[in-house]
Amino acid sequence: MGEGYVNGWAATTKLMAAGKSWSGNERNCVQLNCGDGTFVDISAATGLDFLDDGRAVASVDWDGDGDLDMWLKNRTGPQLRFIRNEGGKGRSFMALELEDRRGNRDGIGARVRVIADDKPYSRVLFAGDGYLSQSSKRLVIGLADAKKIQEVTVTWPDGKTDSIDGLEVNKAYRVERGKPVEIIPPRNVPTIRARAPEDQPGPAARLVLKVPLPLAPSLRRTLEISETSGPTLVSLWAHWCKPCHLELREFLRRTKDFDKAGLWLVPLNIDGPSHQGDAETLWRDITSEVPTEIELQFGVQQTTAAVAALLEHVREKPVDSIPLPVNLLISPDGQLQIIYLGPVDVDDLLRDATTYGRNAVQASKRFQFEGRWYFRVPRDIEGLIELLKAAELDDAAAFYENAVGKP
Amino acid sequence: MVTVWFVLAAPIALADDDKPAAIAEREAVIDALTTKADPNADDWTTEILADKAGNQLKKLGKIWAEAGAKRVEESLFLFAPDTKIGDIRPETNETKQIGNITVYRYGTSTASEAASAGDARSSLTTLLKNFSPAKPIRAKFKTVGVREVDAKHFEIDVIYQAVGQHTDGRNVQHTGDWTLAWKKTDDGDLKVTFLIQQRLDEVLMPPNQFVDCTRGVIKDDNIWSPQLAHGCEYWFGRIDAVGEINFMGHNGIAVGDVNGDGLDDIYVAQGTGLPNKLLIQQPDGTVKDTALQAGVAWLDDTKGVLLVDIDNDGDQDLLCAIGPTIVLCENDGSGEFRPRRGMRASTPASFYSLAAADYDGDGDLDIYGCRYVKLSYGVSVPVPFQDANNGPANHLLRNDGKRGFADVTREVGLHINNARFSLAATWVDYDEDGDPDLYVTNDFGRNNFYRNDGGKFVDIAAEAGVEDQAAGMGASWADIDLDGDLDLYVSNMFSSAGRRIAYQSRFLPEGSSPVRSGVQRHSLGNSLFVNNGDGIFEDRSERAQVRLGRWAWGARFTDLNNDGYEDVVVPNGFLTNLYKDDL
Repeated sequence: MGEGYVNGWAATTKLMAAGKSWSGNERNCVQLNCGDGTFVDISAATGLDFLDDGRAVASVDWDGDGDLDMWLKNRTGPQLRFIRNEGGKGRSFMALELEDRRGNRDGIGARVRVIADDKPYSRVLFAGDGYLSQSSKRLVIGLADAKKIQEVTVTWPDGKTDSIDGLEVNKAYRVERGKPVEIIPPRNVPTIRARAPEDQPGPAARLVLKVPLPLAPSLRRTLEISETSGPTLVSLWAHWCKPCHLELREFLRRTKDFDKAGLWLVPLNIDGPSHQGDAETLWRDITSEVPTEIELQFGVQQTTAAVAALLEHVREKPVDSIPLPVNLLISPDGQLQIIYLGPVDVDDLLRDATTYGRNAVQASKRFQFEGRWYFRVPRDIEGLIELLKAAELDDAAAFYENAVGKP
Repeated sequence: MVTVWFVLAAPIALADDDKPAAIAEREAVIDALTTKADPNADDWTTEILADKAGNQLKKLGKIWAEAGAKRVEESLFLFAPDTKIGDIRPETNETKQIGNITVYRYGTSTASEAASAGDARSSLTTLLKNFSPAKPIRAKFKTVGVREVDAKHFEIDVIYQAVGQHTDGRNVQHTGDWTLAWKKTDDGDLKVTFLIQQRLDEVLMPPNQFVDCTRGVIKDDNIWSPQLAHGCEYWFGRIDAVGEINFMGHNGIAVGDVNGDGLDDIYVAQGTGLPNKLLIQQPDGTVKDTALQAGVAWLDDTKGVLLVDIDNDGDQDLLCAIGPTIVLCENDGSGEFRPRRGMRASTPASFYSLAAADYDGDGDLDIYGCRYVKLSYGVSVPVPFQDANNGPANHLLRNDGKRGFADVTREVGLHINNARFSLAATWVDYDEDGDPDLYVTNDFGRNNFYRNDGGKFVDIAAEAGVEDQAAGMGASWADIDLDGDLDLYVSNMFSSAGRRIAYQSRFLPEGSSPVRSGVQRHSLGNSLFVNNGDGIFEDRSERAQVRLGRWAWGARFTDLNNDGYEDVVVPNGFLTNLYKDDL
């Protein structure tokens, strides 16, 4: 037994990779404690039933009004939401911040007990609970309609308990172990209602390679990349791709800027032999408006296969067809640096050509977003070799096999 | 580039990585199974029936989604002319007033009642009486059970949920369990002949109790539009896939006062290629991202994160789970960090949730890190599926102050039952003996509950009654009944399809009953374990009505209405993709 499920799990993974949903479109749930040992579903009534792929939730009285707001972290966009709680309005509360200089200073693991209106409330200070979440260390304790606090005790992480006198409802206190309590001045900064908008798919992507990929000589030939002192832009296009035509016109119009940046343009048509005539006609149209000395290049069957293999390798996402327009920025040393999917902004392009086309770019600066990498992970060249072999690009596969020292 | 400073001194010897069947052979099986995602291509008759009945109920939902007085009239298409529906909203019911929230609870309507009760028109009118006809109703019916009666008749169990508005402006929500009997008519149509209700809860609450203020707090468009606005579906294919692809979205959050100004800040982990964010709260409640200058804008996929005072110097240090390494960044007191140590496990499995507590009572915080899959989803296959014991090891790292951290997993007895698929852990002194105990939530099987006996751990999950063999994803503790002891809520998977199939008599007929019940348990939903006060927990999940948490990640207790009783928030949903044809 089990084999069926094992395979089912793998099958589901395959469907996911193909872009299908799996238990997606599921709304967040909220269950209200009825106080009698039962809960009632209030997910939709609260409006917290967002259609996000929710992952983490952290509670915190962010605005200082005495009830728990929350941060939600999602897989889908928006990746983050802040929710202001108005549900505690008019009810009593007490808030405590702990410090324990005899144990761990944060007081993680401490338990606060409060008796108010003869009801015993308690809270524990956690560092990490739920899933991938850590909530605020300020413990906010709802006290329903209590007007007076009868008793407060703190059981510190070592199990010893202190009784704390003189605390009042609707106040926040700092409790340092063994010292008199301090009142935390009240604060109430109502945050502004401004809903996080739904994620919108973007038409274009500028995919900067974290680790540049040296292109095998056979791939460079297939992509019509010649030896130049500057960077090369391989602009893939087809006769049916209107945005490609607009883009080529724009590129040619800015020839001077291309020259200034030392950027060499290779307009590479991938229509195939049956539409070569259409492509030539279009190119004549374009160049009659914007004369150029640049020659149109025609890809062969292997060109499409090579681009598909590169895209799949870099993105680890199956490529059914090449999503034109595609532009590839290659540095003078023959390394693939950036893939532009969809229409590209020429100014961005020229800036990239200047940055990536000359000197090596510092790893921390060479990505889409500024930040720092902890791990230096190499490219999965084995995976690329497999893709190239499957595409019958044996010369290129052999190049990478030699590069990684394999037979 | 930061080098790895510190390798765990005593790596745990792990069982061999599971060796799946030859890839080619498995691909063939996978292809055969992928075609089965379409219910009509399946040889499960009941799945076809569930699908057809579901389509009828979707039509009903569409009618309710339109405002208008003719709602009930138009709903009658669903019912046979002689349909009987029991009194689903009897006069006698249980009413609860919880602050400004009103809850009406209705119980079972019996078959005999149904036979003598009113017709579909009057029952539907009563059912929807608190919904304003001028407002749309969003209704959903989840089929969780199917039984074929004969060639012309079958029954389904549905969870019914609806939300709309009362004429007084309050939100109205229904949650109910119904059994619907269906008849196939001669012309191939499906009609409901019978409706039996197990329960119905109606909630009325004022609107705008929870307000999405995300962009009111994160005003800076430079961090919103190019980054946080988009989810993994967007980034997958737009980021170099070196390292872990930006796809699953297992990236956590941690709240803490990073710069010591008395205001809580939040650290936000992100997937590969997106820099983690350190959102520092300003006096007006808005945030500024200081991750870059603070030295913590990690671009690697980061999962669990914690803000805790590791060195007891009075500021919040940062722990990040980056791949198989827990990275400690030390706060200099001003909110800027220096990476101090990378605690790297001996095998490549990534760390997921982290949890900190002082387990040995020496006055500093120790760290427990959960690990889930040895390699990646779909490659590391859990075996056996319902009780998997071939996962990577979790680690307990003892804080030895200036000497760093030591891996004491084996030394303290936490190597027992330590090959599960762990997603989360919580430290809690449930027995109040002055040391924290550890609950570990595991996918594909049993959870662990390690009692701390003065620094040595014993797994007492079975004897305490909290093994909760299921697809566990998170846990949270609170005294839900104000009896002084701590109760446990575990988030699990809830799958309608899993429930439908796993309870069929033809499902796993050759399987032994523990296997069968294990698999059935797998998709049952969330669990609530109430502490009896004597170290034993009672499973009250059904009675407390907490099962339906959907694809629940880390549900967390939080008191939403300051009545002192902690409620539950359940982040939800696994993978929503471009194609909406959900599996």
